[in-house]
Formats: sequence, C-alpha cells, structure tokens
Amino acid sequence: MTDPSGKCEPPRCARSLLRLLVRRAIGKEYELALDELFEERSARDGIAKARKWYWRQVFGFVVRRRSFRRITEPGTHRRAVVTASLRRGSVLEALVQDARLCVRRFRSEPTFVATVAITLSLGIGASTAVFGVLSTTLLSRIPYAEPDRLIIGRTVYIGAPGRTFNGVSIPNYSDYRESSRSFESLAAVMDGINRVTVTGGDEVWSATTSYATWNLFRTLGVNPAVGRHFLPEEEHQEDLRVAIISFGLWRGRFGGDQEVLGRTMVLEGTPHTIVGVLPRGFRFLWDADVWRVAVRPGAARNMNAYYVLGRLRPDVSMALAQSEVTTISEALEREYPEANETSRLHLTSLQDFLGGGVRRGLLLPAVATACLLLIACANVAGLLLVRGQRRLAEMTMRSALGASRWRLVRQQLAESVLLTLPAGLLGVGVAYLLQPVLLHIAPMGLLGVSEPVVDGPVLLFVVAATLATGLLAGAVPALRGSAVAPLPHLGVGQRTPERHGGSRMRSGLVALQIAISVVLLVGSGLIARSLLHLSNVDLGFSTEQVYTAGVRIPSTVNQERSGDDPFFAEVLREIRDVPGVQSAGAISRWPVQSPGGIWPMRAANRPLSEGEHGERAYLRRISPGYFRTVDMPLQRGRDFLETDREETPGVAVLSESLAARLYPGEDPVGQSVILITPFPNRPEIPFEIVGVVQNARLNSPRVSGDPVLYLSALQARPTAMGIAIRSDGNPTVLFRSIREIVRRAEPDALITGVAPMGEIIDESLADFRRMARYLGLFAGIALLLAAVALYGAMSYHVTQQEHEIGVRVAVGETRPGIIGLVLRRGAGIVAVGLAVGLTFAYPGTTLVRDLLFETVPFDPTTYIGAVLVLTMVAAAACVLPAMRATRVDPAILLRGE
Amino acid sequence: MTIERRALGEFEHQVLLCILRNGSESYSVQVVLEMEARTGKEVATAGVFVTLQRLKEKGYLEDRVVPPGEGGGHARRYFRLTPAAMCVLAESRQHYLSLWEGMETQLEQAWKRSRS
Repeated sequence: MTDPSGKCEPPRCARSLLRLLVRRAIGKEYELALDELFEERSARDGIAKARKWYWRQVFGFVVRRRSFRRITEPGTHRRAVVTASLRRGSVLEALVQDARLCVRRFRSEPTFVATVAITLSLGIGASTAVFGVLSTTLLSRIPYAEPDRLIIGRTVYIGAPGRTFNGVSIPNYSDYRESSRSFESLAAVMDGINRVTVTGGDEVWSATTSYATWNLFRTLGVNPAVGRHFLPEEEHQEDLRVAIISFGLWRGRFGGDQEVLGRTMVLEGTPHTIVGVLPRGFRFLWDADVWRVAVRPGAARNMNAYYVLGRLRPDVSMALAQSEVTTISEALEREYPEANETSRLHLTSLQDFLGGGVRRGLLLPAVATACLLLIACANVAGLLLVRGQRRLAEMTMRSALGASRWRLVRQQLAESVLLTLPAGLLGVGVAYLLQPVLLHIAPMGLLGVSEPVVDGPVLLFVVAATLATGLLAGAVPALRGSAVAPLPHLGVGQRTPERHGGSRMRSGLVALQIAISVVLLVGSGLIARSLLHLSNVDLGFSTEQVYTAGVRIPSTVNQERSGDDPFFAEVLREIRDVPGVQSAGAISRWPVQSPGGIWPMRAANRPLSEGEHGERAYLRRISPGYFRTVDMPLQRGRDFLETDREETPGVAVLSESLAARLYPGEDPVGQSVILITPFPNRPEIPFEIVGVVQNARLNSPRVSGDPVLYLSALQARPTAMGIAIRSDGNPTVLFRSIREIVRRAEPDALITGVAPMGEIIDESLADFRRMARYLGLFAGIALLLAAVALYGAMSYHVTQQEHEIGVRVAVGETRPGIIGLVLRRGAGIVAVGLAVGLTFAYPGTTLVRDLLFETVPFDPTTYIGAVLVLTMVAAAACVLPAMRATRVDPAILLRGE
Repeated sequence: MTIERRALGEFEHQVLLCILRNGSESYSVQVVLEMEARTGKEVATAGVFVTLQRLKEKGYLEDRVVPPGEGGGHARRYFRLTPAAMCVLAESRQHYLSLWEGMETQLEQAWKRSRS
C-alpha cells in the first residue's frame, strides 16, 4: 500500500485495530515504534513481508494487551490477579472458554435447546424469506447490466386529476431518441403482451408475444444465448419479419435445437424468422415467449402503446434527463398538438418502476414477519429469564469469586447467541419453504425473479438476524441475571426464591406476546371477513351452471370466410344444438379476469368542447345470447341479434352506469354513442344504442358499476373469444362436443381454458386468499407461541407459589379457590396484553385498509372474535397449571420446610 | 520480595544487554533492531515494550522522554541502565562464566553437530 507521496504505509485495517485497542500514551508510543520499524523492514524485506510483519505485531499486542493495561493502568493490577481464574488470557480465549462452557451446558438440556431453536427458527426463517424477496429490489439485484442507469419513460398529462400514466407512440419515441443527448441508448417496449396462434408446424399452439424496438436487449445489456440481436434495418422490413424467442420456448417447443435459427413460425398468419434465443430466466416486464420488432412505417402518433426504456449516460443525472425530455415533450406538443396535447414524458428509474409494486406487496408480510420475530424473541427471553432464576446461585458464586458484571453479562449473552445458532440453520430451511408463498403474493415476475432467492446477501442476513435475535432475546435476562448481590443467594439450595421484579418482567414479556398476537389476529380477521364478503358478492352476472372455453383462430381464417357466416356465429349456433345446452354466447374478455383498456366516448347529441375528454368506459364485444347465458337482465331495449352484421349499422348495448353518464335522465335506446378512437382514418365511430343491461363487476369483484360499452361480436370478426355455455348436462360430454364443433369449423383453431366459469372468479381472488392465509398462518403461530409462553409463565408461577398454596390448602382453602387464585394471576397478564393489543390493533389496520372490502377497519365482530379466540386459548394455557396447583399436598410441602 | 524483584528472566536479560551494547541509552526501536540483529530471530515489539516497562518497575532502567526535534520526528522514551542493573548483569555474567568454564570444547562440538 503506497500513499500518494510514494511513502509506504502499514496495513490500514491492522492500524485501525491497534488504535481501537489502545488509546493511552503508551499505545501511541507503541504505534509510532511500529511505524518506524515498519519503514525499516519494508526497505529491507519489501512491502509485502513488512505488512505481514505488521499484522503479527498487532496480534502480538492483542495477546499482551493485559500486560499493557497493567503498565498503563497500575490500579487494575490487583483486581486482575483476583479474577485471574476467570479472566485469564485474551478476550478471544475468554470467548472460546464461554462457548465451551455453553456447549457443555446445552448437552445436559437438549429439550430447552430444541424449544428455543424451533421457536426462533420460525421468526428468523420468516424474516429471511421476506428479506430474500425484498433484497432483490433493495440491493438492486435486478438481473440486467448496471440497472441503476436504466429508466422507464411514460406519458403523463399535465393538469389531469391524479397521475395516470400512459404509453408512448412509436413516432414520438423516435423523436425522443433522435433529439435527446442524455441517453446512451433509448429503446421502446410494448406495454403488454398478446397471445397469438402459431401455425406452420405440425400442430397449432399459442404463444405470448410482445413488441420491442431493435435495441431493447442491447439497452438492457442482455445478449441472446443463441443467435443474434435484432438489427436496426429490421424495423423497416414489413415483408420479412424476425423474432427472438425465450429460452423456455426454445427448450420446450424446439427441444433446445441449435438449428432453430432461421426457422419460420407463422404468428397469426404472418411468417416470422427466428434469429435468436434469449438467455435462461430472462424476462422483462412480461414473460413473453416471442419478441417481435416494432415495425415503424405507418405507426400512428396517438397510438400510445409503448414504454420507453433508456440507459442514462454515466455522467447524466435523472433530473437532467427529465428536464431534457420535458423540453422535447413541449416541442412535440407544439408540432403535433392533436396527439400530444398536455402530454409529457415522465421518467422513473427502472428499479422504482419494477420494485415499487413489489415493495408495497411485501410490506404487509414484512410487518407480520417482524411481529412474529419479536414474539419469538420475547418467548425465548421469557425462557431464559426462568433459566436465569434457576442459575442465580451460580451467578452469585461467580460474582463472589471476582467475576465482573460485564463478564457475567458477556457469558450469558454468548449463551443466548449460541442458542440461536441452530435456529439460524433451521431458519434457512423455513425461509426456503416460505419463499414460494411470498413469490405468489408479490408480483416478483416483473423483476425477472421466479425462483426462491437464498444467496450470499440472504445468508449474510441470516447470520446478522441470528446474532441480533440472540442478543435481543438474551439482553434482558443477561442484565437481570448478572445484577446479583453475593450474600443473599449463597447457600440457598434447590429452591431459590424469585427476586422482586423478575416475575413482573416475565409477565410483561408474555403480555407483549399477547398484544402482538391480538394485532395479528385482528389484521388477519379483517382480511378473512373481506374475503368472505368478496366470495359472496353479487357480481351482476351468474356463474352457476355456466362453463367457459377460450377459442382462438388465426386471423387468416376471417379473411378466408369473408363471404360466409362469421366463425363464432357458426360455432355458437352448433353449440346451442348440443343436448343439455340451454344457451351459449361469446365475449371478447372474461369479466374480472382482465379488465382491458378504457376507451373515450360521447353521446352523439353532445359534441365535446375544448378540453373535454368524453366519458371513459370498458369495451366488450359480445355475441347474441351472452347476456342470457350469464343471466344479465336487459333493463331496456333488446339484446344483439344474429342479423346485426358487418354490413348493417353498428349497434351497442350500454351498461346502466354508462347509460346514466351519457344520457342522464333520458332513455338512451334509439340514440347513438360515438366511440373516440386513436385510428387516424376513423377517429369517431358511431353506434346505435339498442339496449341497456344491468351493471356487472367487470374490472374486479371489489368495484361495482363499471361503465361498459358492449358491441356486437358479429359486426367485427374477432380472432379470439371466450365462449360461455349454460348447460345442465355432463360437463365432460359438453367439453368434448365443444372441441369437436370448433375443430370441425376450423382445424387450426386453438381451444384453451375449458372450465366452469366460477373458477375464473375464484382465480381473481387467489392472491387475496393467499395473503389472508399467510396472515392467518402468522397469527396462528403467534397465538401458539403466546399460549406456550403463558403456559410456561403460569407453570413457573405455580412452582414458585407452591409454599403459599400449601399453606392456603392447609388452612382450608377449597379447590375452586386455588384454581381461582392461579387463574386470577393469568387473567391479569391476559388483560394487560389484550388492552395493549387492542390499543395498537386499530392503528395497525392502516396497513390492511387497502385490502378491506365491505369491512370497516373497526369491525366489532372481528375485534370481539379476536378477543374471544385469545381468551379461550389463554384460558386453556392457564387451566393446566391451575389444576396442578390443586394437587399440591400441604403435608409433604410443609414437612420439607 | 527484594530477592524476587531482582531476579532476571531470559528476555529481560537480553533487553538489558541490548541497551548496554547500544551505548549509554536506547529507545524501544533500537532495542528491537539490536536484538533481532544479534539473535537472528523476529522479536515481538509488544514484548519489548512490556519488558522495558517491567525492568523500569524493578529499578533496572531509568527513562527520559526526548522531545521531537532532538531525536527525530516525534517524542521518544530513552532507557538507561541503572547501577543496580549493571550490578545484576555483572553478577549474572560471573555466574554463567563459572558455569561454562571447561565446557567450551563440548559446546563447540554440539554446535557443529547441530549445524551439520
């Protein structure tokens, strides 16, 4: 190590260690002497040897530190001699001695060690699982090169209420790319994935696909595992399309064949040549099987369907880049006001963009986990306190022999830390089991993380958590256990009287555990009730006896059938003839499962004035018969008819809520609605309103009254529809018939998701259900730990009070009286725990408030339920020790006295 | 007690001799270097420090602090043998010489054997 002046310096760490250990004048003198010798040695033997020598000298000092102290602090000499038996050698030696002593002691009490290990492993394991998942965002372990320089750009509208983000169009992206100087590279990626039908091989299959500009993977710093990147000129080749496929698709569909490059896949009738395979585990925003190049010619400037992904230059800050793109946004607004009015490109770091949702999703599990760890610590602290009480005589003896208080504390802390080591090991296993559950709860797929994360930083966390837990659980017992006055406890035999305050401390710890359990119970209770309400909510449509099947056809099929009946009209007609089928209909997107985009529209008789954006509503294409199949009654007008075709004027059915917004107080049937589109050739499309249908929950089971514009599927020839069938027949026979009918109509058609409709609704609640289970599990464990702690405290209390109980029995106290005595004490602890828990439960519900559905945060049923459950468990934990108290035989006890 | 205090350990002996060899007085670094040069072994500086201090406590050394400028870049503590030290060294030498008397040939041969 050479400093800037070229002078040799001793190793910094060794020197810092030395300075840490010696502060007095003699230490300074020693340090200066070492420096001088170091210089001499580095000149003679070379720097490397001199550095090693320096380290040896520092260790030599550590070994002789006690002698040094004696020189510099002559007063300590005598005490050192007195406690020599306990304090011989260096700190390190003393620690080794402590550890040896602990291990010997643990061998004699395996049950105690196992109890502590199991209790703490739950807390440590759960914390590690949460940390493993969180650390991916916190430690920027996002699997792209230098992720801190990556940004995502989206459009925001200035002056719009709230902050809603929109995509960016390809022409706008091109302008940003050409005009900005802040980015090393600027790419664009579509803000979603499509499912497409793939033909051209032996069988028809479906794949997810997304579009990106040629430089997306280069910007991310990811190279294909096989083949090459997209090329710039491929953005302009409309006739020769290329694709890069995912590693999973390559292995699963192409058997990992190296010859895959150059093969052709026909996506929705368009041939694409495979030019590359992405590396294993790669995913960006979505898990697309096929990535295609966003082809630029003809792209509309108001088709905001892309996110911008940029890599900042190393010397450019986010703020600088933001100010630059804002200037470009303003220029674009001036140049293309019709497409870019009030729109600005807003930059977010990729880490925040991806991690924000994950962090929010993990907040609740993280808090629940912290609570569990705290309970586990309190539990073990309680156990250690009881143990400390038993070892009072030993501590007193040590103190009398000259052990300082610090020495006693150190030994007990070493013990509690050593006790947590097996828990740490078990915790890694627990974390491994819990992480898949967490990965389900948090949308980790976004981050490209799909497998449990147990790596270096996580293991480091385990070590840190284990040590911290050991210190936290051991601190109070160690401090209490070491504060001994030598005389009163010496010579006391087996039964040592409990010191004043010791039992209060332990009762306090039990009350703390009960309090935390109450908070967790209330939180999980509120979520469970919300789940119950959600499961029973009136969706506005019926799923009873309704079965679903997803059908997708290549887009070429519609062109081939241009003169005939639309494909779905034919299929539905045949399905309705199947025995047992009462009705059948089709819809473009299943309700609740995926809401789809929101489109602007207006009433025909009310043109939009300057600054108005019209009403916004979801859009669904449905076939005639769908409303009847899912039991959505029409409020006014009629359903779509078989005769509403492409050649007839467009017709629409409005949901009640949309009707009320477009035509408040009027009958909309017979009037028109204008759909405002981003297509330059047809900016406004009119539809005649033929009916109004009952509201249904379309976006999520939580929100009622979504405004929806239903359009006829027979007027558009869609390529993918969900078919809903109401049938009282055998589902297996029904599904077979559907497959046959679809295959007969179109051999290349793809059938997916054949299932009862109720499953779609269930799926949408799956995340919520998992969260409820997770919290419920934690609350259950917390309750169990609290109950065990209460049982332990009461058992110990009975043992301590045996003498008093014996006397009471001897003077004629009845059995119920004795039970009452013990229960009263338990009730006191439980009451304090409940009071504290209920006080904190209400503020604690702020975390779950967003998840609640038709349940108020102060739901009396939940609170009363939590109190009842806890009281019952607590009563069970107290009754056993109370019963034992009644069996105390005063004769034996008093004879012993 | 007095007798015990006057007893010299081997390392203490070596430290006193090194100071004596360096002239009238030496500071710690000089003692270390002299000792290493003479014995050919690495010496623990901390050991030298502790021994110097102990010898001072026993009354065999006197020290004085030389402020910076006079003896180098920083203050140094120079040690000097007391008359008691000279006395104990002389006594010790006498004892050893009488013990070694007539042993030279034997020792010489053992030394040569160990070297070969």
